[in-house]
Amino acid sequence: MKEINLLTLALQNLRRKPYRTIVIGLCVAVATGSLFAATIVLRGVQHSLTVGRARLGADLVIVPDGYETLAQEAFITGQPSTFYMSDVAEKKISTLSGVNQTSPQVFVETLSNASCCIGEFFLVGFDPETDFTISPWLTTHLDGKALGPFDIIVGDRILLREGETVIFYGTDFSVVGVLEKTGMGIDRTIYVPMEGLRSMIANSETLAEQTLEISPNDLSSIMVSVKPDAEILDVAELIEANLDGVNVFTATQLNQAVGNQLQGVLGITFGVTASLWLMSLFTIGLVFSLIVNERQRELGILRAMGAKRKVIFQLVMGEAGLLTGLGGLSGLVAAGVLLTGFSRLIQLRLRIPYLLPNVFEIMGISLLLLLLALFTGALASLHPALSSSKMEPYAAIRKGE
Amino acid sequence: MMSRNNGNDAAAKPVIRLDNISKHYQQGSETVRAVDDVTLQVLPGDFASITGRSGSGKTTLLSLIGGLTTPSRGEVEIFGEAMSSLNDDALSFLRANRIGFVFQFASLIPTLTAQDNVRLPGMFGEKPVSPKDAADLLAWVGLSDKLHNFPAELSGGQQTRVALARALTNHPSLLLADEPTGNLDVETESEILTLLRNLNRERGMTIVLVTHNPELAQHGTRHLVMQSGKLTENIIVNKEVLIRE
Repeated sequence: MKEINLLTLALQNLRRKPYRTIVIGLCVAVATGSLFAATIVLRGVQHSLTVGRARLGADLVIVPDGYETLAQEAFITGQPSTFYMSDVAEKKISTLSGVNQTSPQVFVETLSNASCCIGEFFLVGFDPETDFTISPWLTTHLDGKALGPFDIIVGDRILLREGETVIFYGTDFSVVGVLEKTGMGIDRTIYVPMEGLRSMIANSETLAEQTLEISPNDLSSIMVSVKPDAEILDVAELIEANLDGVNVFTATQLNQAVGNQLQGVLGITFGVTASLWLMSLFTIGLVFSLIVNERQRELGILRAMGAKRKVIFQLVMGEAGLLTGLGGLSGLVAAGVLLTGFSRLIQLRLRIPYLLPNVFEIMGISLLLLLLALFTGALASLHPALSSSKMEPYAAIRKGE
Repeated sequence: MMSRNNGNDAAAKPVIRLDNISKHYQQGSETVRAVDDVTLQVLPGDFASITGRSGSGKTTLLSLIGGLTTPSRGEVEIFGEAMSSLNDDALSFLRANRIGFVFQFASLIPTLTAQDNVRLPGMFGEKPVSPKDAADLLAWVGLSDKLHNFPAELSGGQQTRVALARALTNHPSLLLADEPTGNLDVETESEILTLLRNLNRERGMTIVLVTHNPELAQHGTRHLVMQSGKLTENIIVNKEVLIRE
């Protein structure tokens, strides 16, 4: 037996003017969806930075002067960048006071027709002897086995898994480990032992379609760990003072770079969302005043049938709640689908690290925003609901005639 | 007040008792005396018709009786209880369970079928109304084939019948009808009137009918005439019925 209750009545009322219902619902959906997307992106970036910073391992990163922005982008998004400096720099840095350990890296860009992946990917040569940034994360994957020169480690977003082989520039490599997801460039990076990378570079002339013009003495970056008793910024200044043609950046600066990228975009998003929210609030308030006004006679007749004041109040509030609740839910679902489907595009367009927060956090944010949508509906319809419930039935019937 | 019977029959306790009630309101700088010092009793089983010109205060009087508005002065007593002593919840309970209303324009909920419109008062009454009960009521008003029709698919007369069935949903003992046939043709008007008469004669329901048509008033037991807010006539027109009941 179909029940006749406040919910069915409120639903039927919303169905009366489908166009109006859809427009208001859409308004709420856009506001909720935008706020959800902006919050998730912000939380995703924060989460990713936390994971990525821990994974980066180095206190300082040294790159050739003029390439700091490109290098930061490569770390953040995994977009390949190639730049080189002489290995003399590493030797000098290792002698400076406050420097605990150094490890070089060499960056190579894969060809767009690499067998593993579509598009260009970032190959990073690292020295397993001195490395302290990748190796700590590799050991867990290698189960104590030594890393061979042609054993590679891949980021989570590389479509290769342990045991698979791949050819880069004519050289065969075997995948021996996959790194956990970080949302940063690491996920799209392929880590190759320096010996294997140098061999690949040397053989590219004969084995590959394209020769790699990288000298055996070239390095792309130097990862530096600072002694526990030394100040990171002091060591950075010391390096810049003693070496020409290099730039030093810290993990904090990497965060700042991300912050700068985000500030504008998120500022605009939150601004637009706040405007949309206010607009929704006023629109819902106005529309519900109109709804109550045009249905005065009907509400008066419900009172004549015995509906208490609180029933009329609940009916109007229920309609607003349903409308904003359904609108909010649609916005959340749409934003969720878009965020999941276009996460890589968002990462590239905004040039930010981005790792989806865990499912409980997403559910918590969704619930909060849904409550916010419902609260907006309640706030906007409070006055019309109160005034219609307080109206004398006779006056309501006569005014509505 | 011209009256052949002022309603002070001692035999039965009145269903409605109005004691010098007035309803005044401001319209700009002018005070409108919609109902002015009316005293009246309606007894159980009465079929009272109120006639009068437009603006004479008929509908306001009916609304005062039904507790849809409060008097500016005087006391309304219904089923032996002073309305001024009832709070909104108690009044709503009374309207939900003991009074049925029919208005000039049926005012059905357009998105509900005839059957669901009839079930609607069950939301406010003591118990929900089953689809079968609603169907029985619609059959009684001659609309057993229109259960699932929406108001827009019904004629004016059919909508009034649905409104009448809706007013009877919670088995009220008092029916207040405000020009239910006002916009209907003569034939449909007569059919509605027959239904009202049956309710009064067969079920003993007390009915107060507001109508602009003095001829209809002849079918009831009591004819009240209003003029400029005052009750100018209170006539027993069918004493046989009263004696029988």
